Amino acid sequence: MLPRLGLLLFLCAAAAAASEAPRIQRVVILKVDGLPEQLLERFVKETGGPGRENHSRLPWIQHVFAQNGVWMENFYVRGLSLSAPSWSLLDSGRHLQIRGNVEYDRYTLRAYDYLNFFPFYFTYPVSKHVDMPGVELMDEAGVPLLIDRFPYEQRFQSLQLLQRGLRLNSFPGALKRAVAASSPKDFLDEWQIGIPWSASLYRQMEADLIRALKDPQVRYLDYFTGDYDHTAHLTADPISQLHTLENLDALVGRIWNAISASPLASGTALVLVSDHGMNTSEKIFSQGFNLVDWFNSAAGGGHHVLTNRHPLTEFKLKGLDPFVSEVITPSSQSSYLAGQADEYPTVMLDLDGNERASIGLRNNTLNTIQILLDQLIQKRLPGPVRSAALSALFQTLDKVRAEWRRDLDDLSQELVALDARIDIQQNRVEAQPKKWTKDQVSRGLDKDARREAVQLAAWRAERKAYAEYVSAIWRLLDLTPADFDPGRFKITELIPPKSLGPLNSLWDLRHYVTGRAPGGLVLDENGSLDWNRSFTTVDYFEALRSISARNNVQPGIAPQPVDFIAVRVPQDTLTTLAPEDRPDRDAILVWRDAAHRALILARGNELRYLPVNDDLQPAPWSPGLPLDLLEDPMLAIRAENRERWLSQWHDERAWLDAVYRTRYSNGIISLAEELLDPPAAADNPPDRYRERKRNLRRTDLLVLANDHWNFNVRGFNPGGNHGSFFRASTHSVLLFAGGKDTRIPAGLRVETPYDSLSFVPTILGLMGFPEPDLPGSVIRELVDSR
Amino acid sequence: MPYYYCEAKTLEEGFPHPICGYSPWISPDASLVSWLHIEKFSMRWVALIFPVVALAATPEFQVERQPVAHGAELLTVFSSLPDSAAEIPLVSVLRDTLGDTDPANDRLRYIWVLTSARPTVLQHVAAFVPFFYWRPDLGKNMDAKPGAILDLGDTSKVVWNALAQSLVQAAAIDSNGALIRASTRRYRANLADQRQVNLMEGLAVVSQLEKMPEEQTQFSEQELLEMQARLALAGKTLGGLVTPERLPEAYYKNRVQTEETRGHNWELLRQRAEANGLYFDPLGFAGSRSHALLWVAREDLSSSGDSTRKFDGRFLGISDPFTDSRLKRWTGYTQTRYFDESGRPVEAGAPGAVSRELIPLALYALEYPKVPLLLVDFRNTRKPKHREMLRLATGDAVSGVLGISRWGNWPYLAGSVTWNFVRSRHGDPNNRAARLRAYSEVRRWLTLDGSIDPALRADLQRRLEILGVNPLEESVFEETEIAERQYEALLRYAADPDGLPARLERDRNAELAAHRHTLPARTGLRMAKWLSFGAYSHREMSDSTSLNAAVGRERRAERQIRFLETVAKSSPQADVVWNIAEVRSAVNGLIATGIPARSAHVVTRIMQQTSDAEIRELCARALATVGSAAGQ
Repeated sequence: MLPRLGLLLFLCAAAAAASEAPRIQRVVILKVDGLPEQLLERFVKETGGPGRENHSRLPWIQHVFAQNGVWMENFYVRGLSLSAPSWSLLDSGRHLQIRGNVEYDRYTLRAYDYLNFFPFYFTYPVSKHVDMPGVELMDEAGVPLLIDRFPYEQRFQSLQLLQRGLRLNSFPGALKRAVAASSPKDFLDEWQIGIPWSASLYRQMEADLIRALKDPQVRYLDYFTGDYDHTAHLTADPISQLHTLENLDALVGRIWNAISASPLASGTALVLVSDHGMNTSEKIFSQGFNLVDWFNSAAGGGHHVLTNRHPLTEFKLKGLDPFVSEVITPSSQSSYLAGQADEYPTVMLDLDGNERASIGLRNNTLNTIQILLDQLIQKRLPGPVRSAALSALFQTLDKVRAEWRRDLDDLSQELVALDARIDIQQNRVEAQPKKWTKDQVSRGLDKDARREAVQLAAWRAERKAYAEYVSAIWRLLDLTPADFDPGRFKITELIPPKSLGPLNSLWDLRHYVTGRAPGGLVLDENGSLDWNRSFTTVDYFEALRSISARNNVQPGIAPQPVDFIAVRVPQDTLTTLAPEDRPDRDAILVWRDAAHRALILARGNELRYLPVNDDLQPAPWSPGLPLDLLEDPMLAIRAENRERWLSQWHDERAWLDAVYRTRYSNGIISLAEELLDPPAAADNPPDRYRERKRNLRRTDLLVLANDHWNFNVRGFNPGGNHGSFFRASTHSVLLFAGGKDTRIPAGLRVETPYDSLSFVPTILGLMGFPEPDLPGSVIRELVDSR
Repeated sequence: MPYYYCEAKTLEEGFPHPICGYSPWISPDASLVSWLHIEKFSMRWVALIFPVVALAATPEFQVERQPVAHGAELLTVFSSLPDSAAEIPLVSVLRDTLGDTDPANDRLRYIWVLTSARPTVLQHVAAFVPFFYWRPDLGKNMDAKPGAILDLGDTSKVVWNALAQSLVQAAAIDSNGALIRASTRRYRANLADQRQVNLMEGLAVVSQLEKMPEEQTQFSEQELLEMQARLALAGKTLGGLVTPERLPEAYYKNRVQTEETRGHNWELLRQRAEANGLYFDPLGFAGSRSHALLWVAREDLSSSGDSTRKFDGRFLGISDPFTDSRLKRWTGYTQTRYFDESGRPVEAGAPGAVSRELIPLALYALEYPKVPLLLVDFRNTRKPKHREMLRLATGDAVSGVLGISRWGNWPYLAGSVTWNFVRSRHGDPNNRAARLRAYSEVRRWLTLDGSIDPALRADLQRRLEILGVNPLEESVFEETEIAERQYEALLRYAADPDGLPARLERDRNAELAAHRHTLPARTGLRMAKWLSFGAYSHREMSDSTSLNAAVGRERRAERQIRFLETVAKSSPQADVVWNIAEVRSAVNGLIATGIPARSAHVVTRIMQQTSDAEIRELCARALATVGSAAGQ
């Protein structure tokens, strides 16, 4: 009884304290894609032109946030500095579910194309989809967004990547703004200067937002702009970039004034946040390297390559197709899959952001099996070679048979469970009303119903695709030497088309089979297949790092496009590590070259950076290791203590404090976020099917570009790029300001580093409904100062 | 009247240093002969401050100011010439100062591109000949009065003229048979192309001034912006009609587009060079990377027995160099360069340096939309010209000979638009205006830039010379002489009391008339002049002092209104963005000049948008006196 009474008293006290704290009634969030903090800071400090002496070049940002608000000096992206994952983290406050701008399911190659808004916008009126793909995925993963904390009628959301629902009525207004100028003179001007299509959409969204501000019922408003990101990718010209920022500054002014004139002005907070920075330099063109061409080439393995957009989109009529999410670029160098590009793409690339590439390679065992099957089915092999090939085929199968059977058994069970869910979902969908009242529509219930139908359709499609994969692999695993008859089946029945199969091991990635050797299958002295001489293989670590450009005309740019490679290493391969070094989950191998590699280990909330040798055993520290921690002058650890400090386990806060000013900023934390699972929650066992889908979206290799290199292939991004862990790319913007009742301090600059996970808890904390189970820390300097 | 001047002085340290100030003795009223003291100042010291940007051999610009009678000045941009102590006058701009020192009532008027002279009669005749795509030496009007390429005071006149010409062409000329149609259309196209080339040459020069400090260019930031925007817009059909308020937007859009295109093409060409085993070499005006050369190493040619090498000429427009026997016997221009093991260019003596004898393959312009534009193919110099001739001949045959007009034949319009769209999607350079721009830029760059090896420059100029398809054009080798003599002719015109000064006065009258009379009234006055064969010519004021005062008042009011419009448009609270004293001063200025009726709207807006009590009161006063300006 007493403990209960104590708890009750504590809760009452907490509630009383909470009711005394100033509460923000309404939040307006300006989401600016790709805005780097350094650039904003620079232009805010510069003085405006004639007539504006002693005023900042960005006077409104200076006035609202620098003078009358809170400026976070060190706010960093967590994970890749890439829009889709970064906004998903900012919008949810939870660990990453989305790890790239596009992801593919390894078994079915289903594309999760998070950035492609065209299919969503254009088919919205007729399709069942209510939300952008990223939101659908977060919903299925059970991760709520910040906007979900507000009832439907209290939200205003502009067009953005993680779009929940769509305001169709914004489009006619935008079109009208674009083509229907206020006078013939205006129209003529715009015709000659260029009709402002995208600007008109932004202006319409702004007008909608300002209208929504007048409604005291609306408590959450946001506005997204990708203008700066777009410009900075295309040009590093500071005047062009400044012009975009001046437009942003004017927007801040208009919105701030609209807030001031609105009903909840004194209780409204204005927040400006960006999802990542931008590695842009006035004197340097960012150089591209085409990984699609490289993987197509013999040196890259002669792969048919799957991407989400056409390479060199702007030079193709096909590039005009806005709905595309899957493009296969065939290789003319493929040694065993020539002419089968549509069935067997063997590499998938996510190149967005451009300073990094996530690469999924088809399972190496499937390659070996397909080559051997192809030889046995198609070719007339001499008797001893045929016998050796047959024996090699079954040896290969035997190596994976147990593991793959276990996987198929698990997947089959999950599909049975999915069938039950589908039935339940079917009933829910059927129970939905066919017509909706005005009141129901105003509460968004019609959209909720559509979401249920979308989920049902997605599950059905997944079930079908996984079942096909399971059938094919079962047929493959069921093969036995005794009844093997090449005439009885087609390869497509045994090797699932459009599938990468299970993830590759570290060994596979360094001995990746790309085809039959030019001399064909060769026997060793024992009459068995000589594995080394029968197949061509590629060591992708060495091959990627050894790529070098001959045309290296810009000083200060390395000839190698690839900086280092990161791969996930299963926990069970690290058992030889000393007990104090062992992680509690999988680890990450970061590999720069044969002499410079390390493991990133995780244990609870702690991380450790461990230099290793080729056998993944501890090796001495040396300069040149990936992330350059030891030699970085900005590492906040004294030189004499560095090796000792770096050789220890530290929690994330300690790491962030130490590394945030280094060249690779919070790379160690971001790599762990991107490639590892978060610490398991003991009381909440994960949903197996959901976990499987999450793991099937993983890739084999994360390749990081060297400074001022990029992997863009749609077109060219000479202005600047992001995606890596370079500080220029990860250092983003977070600014707060508010009306007098919000008690957001004026002129506060926070130097302590924070990352994206702190955004949602801080907003929720300011609004008076904190959620302690969120993984990120609240920005204390802001919350406590109130 | 004191007069602002700037000149170069050499300080004890040996650094030339610009010295500026007000000279009490230079008066616009003095005769032109006495003004031949030329205020010129050098840009050489800029290299000391910006060593990275101003490379040793990049062109140096100077701006010379020449007073003109009746209160104006001629600002001429000179550039040094490589391998010569001489300087070449490139562009002159007339600034109408109304004879005072107040920049608030200054106005830029005419722009002359001095490297081009008015065509001779024979050139005009040649320009009439259909399918004649050559540039024979038909004499030059080097000493004739130069024609301004742009009147910044009335940019719409060119548009209306062009529209009227098109109308006459379609309504009265095209129906008179293929010969007349083809020849008149070709003539008009040649004239338009020549104007386009001149505009782009002017733009190329003016845009270089932007990189220099304002006090050295003698142009304000706003003036440079206006000139660049107007020169770029003048190349568009209705560009001259764009209102002055939209010029900053036009400038930024043009700038962003140019910067994006340059970077895009730089990368495209570098990647194509990389993929094909060639050497990429960016070049350009003052380090601007606007052009690039592709080279091939002779050593790579000798090892081209490598059968796996596949040359992909897409976007390059040149044939496979590795199978070209001409290159193996190449005796033309080559360069020996040194590279380290990673391929980075190094000095000859650097450790590990490997030498390569490089043979030039092609020169590209990087500011052409979508793809680098092939300007020079060293193995086939006439190839770009033949492509150009084919494009022109196709157009002449269809519209000139067959008389099929895009606007009169909808199927043809649809077909040609589709064809052009598809071709441009695949990187075909079918944008004539952009090709002309690329062509004029490269000519200007090669003439002025000393950073290129002289032998290579001469070789490139010789090859570019062949590209000329317009009989109205000048040879690049004669440009220096043309420019010098055109400049002298311009000075003569400026010194002639019936020349530029008289024209200036007429322009001021017209300017005042535009403020005082409605469009129908002005049209009536113009008709009266035409109908009386010039016997009657309306003048607002015959006394030049009164005229200058009235024009000055209007200009100041105009400037203040435009400033207040910018203030009102830029921010919902003027005081956050602008110096409130400047805003006050502008409103005060309006009151002082007698606030014109057209300013009422903006003054009202300013009044609503400010919390500054003094400005609100000023605005109220101003609104109370609306329309009290003289003559309203």
